[in-house]
Amino acid sequence: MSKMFAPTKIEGSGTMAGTVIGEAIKIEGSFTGSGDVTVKGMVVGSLNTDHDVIIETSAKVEADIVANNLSVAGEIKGNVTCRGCLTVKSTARIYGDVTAEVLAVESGATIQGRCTTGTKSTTDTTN
Amino acid sequence: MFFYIYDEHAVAPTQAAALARVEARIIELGINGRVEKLGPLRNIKSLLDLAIKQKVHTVVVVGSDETLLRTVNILATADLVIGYIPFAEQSLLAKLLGIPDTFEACNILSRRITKTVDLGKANQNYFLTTARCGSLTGLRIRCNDAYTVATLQPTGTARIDVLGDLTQLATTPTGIEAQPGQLRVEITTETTPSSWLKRTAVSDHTSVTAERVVIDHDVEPIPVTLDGVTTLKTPLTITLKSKQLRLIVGKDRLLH
Repeated sequence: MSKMFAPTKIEGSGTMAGTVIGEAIKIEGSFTGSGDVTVKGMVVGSLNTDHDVIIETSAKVEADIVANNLSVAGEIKGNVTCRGCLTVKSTARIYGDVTAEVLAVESGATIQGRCTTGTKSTTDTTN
Repeated sequence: MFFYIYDEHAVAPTQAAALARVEARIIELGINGRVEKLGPLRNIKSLLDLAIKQKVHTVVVVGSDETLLRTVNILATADLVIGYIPFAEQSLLAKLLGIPDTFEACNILSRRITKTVDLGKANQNYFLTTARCGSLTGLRIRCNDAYTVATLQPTGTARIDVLGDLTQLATTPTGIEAQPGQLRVEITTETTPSSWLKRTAVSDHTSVTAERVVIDHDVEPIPVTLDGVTTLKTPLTITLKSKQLRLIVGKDRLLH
């Protein structure tokens, strides 16, 4: 399938991910995903990918995350670096510093840490 | 030279007429060669050693998927081509390789279109499709020497795929596209219902790619079955050998 017709991956509940970490799974160590990653279970350590990451409601992540676009509905204890858009859903809880080009936060979400947005532009907005 | 191995499916009395047609067609096409039959005193390893010693260029398995998968395991490091004439009912490998029936298989052999495929290597054994773990209890899977995958539920299955489970051909008629250079770790766990009101078990799927996978155990060795034909015990180191084996395929193959 050409890129032009590729489905949107981050928005919505559909998982187009190459990597899926199920609810009953715990990953420990330096995890590097070769494609999009959907996390429903536990990740401890670090999570790196050049692609998109979805942290589902059931997920518990105790790791630093580096990703392209990131959608968070679960819990993250660690720093988040996002090259594209970081979408924080209402059920999300992030305990750590957040760096993203674009940040979208739903009402009810928890973020405890330093937020930096607009990383590609010269002016940073620090909360 | 062609080297034909007949297994018990091919020499079954019910297949005598079909086998006679195949043999006649093979002679017509000029691709006849040495024929050896498996038997109680002639196992596949001894026959394939004989084929290697005779420096044949093509080994043709005449029989079942199981015999072909055993052949793949043994001939993985040999420089020759493997062909297949399926004699088993509902042969998934025949479907994968684009071989519609036994008679057409002879024409496909004659055309000799080959496809080079990756093989998984588990310790010193090779496999084409999948390595299936017998249990999740105490199972530890370490990927790329970087991270460990552990299951919080003891019930379910774990597989390390090269081509993957061939039974998926029924649900994915477009074929199998293995991720080049990568093994795929597939874990399916089942959560038992918490109360009698919730009777259906919930299954949970995990899929991770890796170049090197080490399967180990906490308490006692876990059996791991390669291609459904060879059983080994943990600990196992599984790697992917790219472009390891040449198979003769038909034009309607589902192997991309």
